[in-house]
Amino acid sequence: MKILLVEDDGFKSGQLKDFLSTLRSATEIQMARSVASGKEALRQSYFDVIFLDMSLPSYDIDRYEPGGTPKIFGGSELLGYIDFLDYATPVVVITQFERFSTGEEEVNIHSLGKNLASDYPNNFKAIVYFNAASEKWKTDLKKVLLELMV
Amino acid sequence: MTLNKSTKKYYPSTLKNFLRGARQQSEPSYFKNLRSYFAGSAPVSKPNSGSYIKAIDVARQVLTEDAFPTFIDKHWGYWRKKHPQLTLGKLEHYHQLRKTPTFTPLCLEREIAWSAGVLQKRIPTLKRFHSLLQSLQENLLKEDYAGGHQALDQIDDVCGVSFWSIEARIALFQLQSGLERHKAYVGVVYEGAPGSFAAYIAYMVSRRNEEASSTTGFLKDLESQIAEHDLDNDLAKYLRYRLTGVIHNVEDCASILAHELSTSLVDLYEAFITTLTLVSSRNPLPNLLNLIRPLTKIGDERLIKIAFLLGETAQLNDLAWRDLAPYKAILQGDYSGCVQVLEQAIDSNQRDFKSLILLARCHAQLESNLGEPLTLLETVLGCLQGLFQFRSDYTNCLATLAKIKMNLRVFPVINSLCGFPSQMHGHDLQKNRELWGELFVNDPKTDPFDIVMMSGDQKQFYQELGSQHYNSNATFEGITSLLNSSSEDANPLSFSEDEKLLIEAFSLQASGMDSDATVVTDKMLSSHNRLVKLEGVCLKARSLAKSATLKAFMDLCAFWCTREDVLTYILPIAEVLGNRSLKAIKPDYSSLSTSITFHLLLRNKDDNKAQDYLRWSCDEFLESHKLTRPSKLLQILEQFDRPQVGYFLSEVCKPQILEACRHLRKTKDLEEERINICTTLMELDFDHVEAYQQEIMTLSTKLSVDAGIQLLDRSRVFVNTSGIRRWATRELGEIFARCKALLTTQKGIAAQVEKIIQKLLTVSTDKGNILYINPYEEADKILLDLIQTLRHQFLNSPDYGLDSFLSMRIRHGTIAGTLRGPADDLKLLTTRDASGKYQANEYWLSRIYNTSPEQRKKVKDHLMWFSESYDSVIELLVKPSLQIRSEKKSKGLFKVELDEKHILQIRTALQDKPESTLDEFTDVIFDYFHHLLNADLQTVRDYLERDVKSSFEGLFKELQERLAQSLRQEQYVDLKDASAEAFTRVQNTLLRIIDWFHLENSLSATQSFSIEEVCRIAIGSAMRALVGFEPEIQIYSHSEQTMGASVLEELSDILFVALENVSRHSGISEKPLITVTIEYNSEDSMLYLDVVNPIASYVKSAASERKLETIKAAIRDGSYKEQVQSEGGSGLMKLQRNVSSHPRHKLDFGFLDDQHFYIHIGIPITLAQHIVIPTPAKIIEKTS
Repeated sequence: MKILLVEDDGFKSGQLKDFLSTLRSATEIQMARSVASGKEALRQSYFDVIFLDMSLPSYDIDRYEPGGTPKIFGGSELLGYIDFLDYATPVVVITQFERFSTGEEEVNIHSLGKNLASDYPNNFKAIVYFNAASEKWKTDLKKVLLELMV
Repeated sequence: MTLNKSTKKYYPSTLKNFLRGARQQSEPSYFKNLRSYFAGSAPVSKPNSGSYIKAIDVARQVLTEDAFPTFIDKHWGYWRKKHPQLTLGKLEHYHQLRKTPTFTPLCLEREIAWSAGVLQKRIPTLKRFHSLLQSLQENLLKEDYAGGHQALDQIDDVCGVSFWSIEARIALFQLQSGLERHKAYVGVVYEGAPGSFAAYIAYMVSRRNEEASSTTGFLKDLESQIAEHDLDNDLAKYLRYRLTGVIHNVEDCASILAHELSTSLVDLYEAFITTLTLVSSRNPLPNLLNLIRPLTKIGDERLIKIAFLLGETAQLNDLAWRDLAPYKAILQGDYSGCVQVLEQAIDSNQRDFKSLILLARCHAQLESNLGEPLTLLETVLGCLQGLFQFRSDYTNCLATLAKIKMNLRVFPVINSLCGFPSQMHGHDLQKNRELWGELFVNDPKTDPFDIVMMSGDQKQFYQELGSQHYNSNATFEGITSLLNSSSEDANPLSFSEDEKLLIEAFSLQASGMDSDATVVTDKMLSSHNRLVKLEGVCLKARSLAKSATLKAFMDLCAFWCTREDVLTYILPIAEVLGNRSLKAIKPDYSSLSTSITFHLLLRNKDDNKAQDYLRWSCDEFLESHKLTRPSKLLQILEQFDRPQVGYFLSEVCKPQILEACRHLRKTKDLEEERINICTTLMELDFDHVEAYQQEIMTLSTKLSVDAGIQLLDRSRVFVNTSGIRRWATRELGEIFARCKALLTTQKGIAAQVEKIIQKLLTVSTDKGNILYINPYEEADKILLDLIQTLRHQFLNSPDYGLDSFLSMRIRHGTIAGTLRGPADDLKLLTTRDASGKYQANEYWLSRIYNTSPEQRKKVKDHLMWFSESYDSVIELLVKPSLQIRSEKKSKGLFKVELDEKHILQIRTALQDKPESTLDEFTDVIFDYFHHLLNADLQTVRDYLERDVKSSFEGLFKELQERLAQSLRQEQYVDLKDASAEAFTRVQNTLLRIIDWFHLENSLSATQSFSIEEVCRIAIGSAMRALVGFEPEIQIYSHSEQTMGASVLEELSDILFVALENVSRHSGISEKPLITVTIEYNSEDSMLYLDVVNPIASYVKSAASERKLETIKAAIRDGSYKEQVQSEGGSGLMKLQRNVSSHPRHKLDFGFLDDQHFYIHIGIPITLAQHIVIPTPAKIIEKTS
């Protein structure tokens, strides 16, 4: 199974990778750390499933790159791009925020999930809340993955 | 709003409470009242009346509508005696409004029938109302406000109070005396009926009418109130109508009428006319005419026109027909002549709003400058002219008219006059019909142009009637003939070609367009008259929008909007593209018009999806032409329309859009490309050359500052080997010569040396790790001394050594500030108080909800623990590791330890090359040291990446666990999110910090900077570390010299200390205004820096002046050197250490006066040899 994981938080991506590798041995995980590298990966390869963080930098942050504009809804932008490319790949959003605010408007994780489901019914499968202090996200993610396999 | 004393008295405490409640977003009490009113549970005057009214409600539902008049007639007498509220009798007090429970709404036709039945019984009163309404409107338009109030008083006397009269009075007061007076009146309503529906309506209307309240803002606010209070649908429809005039669907009128039946006679009558206007212009219901006919006795021309639209022709001739002289003049292109006639017509009848519209059109053709409007009518005229003329302030004109319409919506004439623009470029046929219907009905006269919204039979009748009235006047015949047919030869008159086209366009617009549109629009597009041409563009765009030829639509929009910007807000771009996904419409990506149209869409509809579509279409466009960046478009310029290329480059290709271009992969790429684009635009768009130059300059400076900050970050780990070399020449020359001589004579005893080397020991002392050797041989002893001395200088020299730079550029403030930054930004950290205890985090304690005292206590402790632990990671894990390792600093990761093999190699090298100079020898030694330092830096990076990162991970994880144990999820959502966000940011910050630990000798860097850039970079770098300190810094520099990177580093060290000094000691916490003056003096080759900052009143004291004197004395006698070895201490001494590496330097500081402190510094500098200024040309060269 080929997975794309778009996540800028090193700790979270480490946790996710560890978790995914326990589920299935023949899993190939490709990483992207920003909207731009996520899009590049999408243009280059086809994936069986995509895991997206919601808030992402525009570019991969490194010693020469501060990351560009931070995108509160970067994951949503990537979902739109997947839809635009006409891919049928299932997408799971994994976020460690319960509320998203752009200053003008605020949306909670449940409403965001509903909006994404309505906007991208062919791709969006679930939104999972990642909390480093709890193991619940693993159960939730496992359940989503099982449903996807069915 | 500021209330003066006289106004305050109108605000009783309950209203204040209510306003306060609204601000606090708690539910105002009137909403509770409203719900109970509309649930039917409101108290009624008599015990049995509730059940009687319920019976009437049932009768309304079971009787046929034909039976309504008889039923009402039969019970009227009883109602007048026992239930006057059913007869909409005169109400004396505001609190009586809406005392009766609302009837269950019927279907629209039945509701109209019931309302008509009630109104028929009140014809004499309504006659009086109609006459007074005319008088009121005339007074309003003449700005005779006293007369207006008199008419309103009379209306209240005759008909009783109503919501309509409250609204009209607020509008009059607003026009007459502004906000204060109308607010005072609202206070009176509230005092008379506190907590009532009337008070609510008065309050909302007053808010709506405030100048600062926009139409869209008020509508949005009302909708959110409706949603928040979960009002039922009928009430929501009624409130929308009552407060904004908005009726989403004609069927909603049933709910509105049902509500007004329990309000007042005037409110029912006006709602009835609004309803019938909509119904008759859209889909006349059968049998409606029979219900209306008796009401025409009121004499209200609106009802006569409605009756006409429903099929009654008899009374139309009773109305006044508009004079045709102005039309004749306009149609022949004599706009000036027409202006005079129209002004007279308006003077004689202010309600003649169509004359005002015609006048605006004439002024548009004449491009008149009407000056600042002084009256309401002048404002409306100016705005209408702006719309007809497609002026650049088109949207402002539209907004102003919409605001006036909303504020004065109870006056039919103003309502129609200001509502006219809505149909000018609308393309919704159904809506157009309603708007034309409203114009027709509210116009006090009859007009030849009314024919456009009539049906076949009506047209014929109307034309015959008009011909009789105008005695077959050629103008009337010509207009009606043109409006009846769009064929070219239909008009036999000498109308100007432009006017003929405009009338045809008008006809097409009114009728919602037809197949002839293309013929007309093509003619219009080739007209020399700009107004005709732009009308043609609008018409064609709507035609294309309807015929779903998307590509042609986009081409048209892109072509014309890039030439006439105002069209961006007029063409139906949002209607066509707004709700469709990019994938679904599958536009042609190779066309420039696709990106441009999406940009136009974004300007109309600011949402994330529209922005994404624009970005992707831009990327796809470049890709389809195999362009790696937009500036390369210049190479294939001839393939495209030039104005569109200009628009694309200047407006579309901005960094936030370019971000999505696949070949631009870094922030720097975007900025460099934007500079290239601006350079290209300077050749394409001469009108805005200065703006592009300015943009280039801003971006170049930003790039330069970013590069400088990056350079500074990478030069934090630094050893001034040049300085050590100079020192060595002075101090070690003699000993080196002796060592070399001895080593040369002992050549050939390598075996013995090896033996000696084997016995080398590393001994840790207070001065660091010292290589110790048994002095079997004097030469080796000297060699080892030399190496040891150089190592000591390399690591510990207070002027040149690694530790000095680690202290100054990393340990002192910078690393703590940078690491604290992300958590500090999200308010997760507090600082210690005077007792050393961490303060409670009041910010987050006030943002957790519904907590028990125990929970609060726990959270308080957790957050204090977090702050303490966070700082502990910095103080106990990070800082100690960034030391030179010694016995005392055993956690230090910087060792730079030469081993036996290295020493042997150095010795052999010296023996093999006895002619080596001291410089060559130090070069060899420094190579070894650098090599070893690089290994240490790797250790530091690994340590930060592994140990420090995992400590922060553990810390954040534990914070979340602790909070989860103490609080329920819903109590601290924001805090949880902030903690997650902070952790991501900390990880990114750590990445940046890890990057500091590379050895890059920036003294050799080729970049150069202007003096001002140097200053900005230094300040930018300092501010990243001084988190929470937000001064306002003014930089003054008139020198244009360019400096090398070494000056940048030096100045950065100086400014960091200077700014930190202000942050710590100025006593000003709120944005101190700091002035930084920097000048290069070519006479003495010195760079002078002056920093002046404000100080709090208590800062200058005898004690502080004594302290300054002590510092100055320590600087004079050199004892400061001991004191700056450790972190902390006086910044002023650190400044002295920084500048003292130059024998020729200046440092002065002190109180300028009681309110300011100054620092004056002078250092000798060498100007950059090769001035490298990033110019656009260079960047183009580089990027291409």
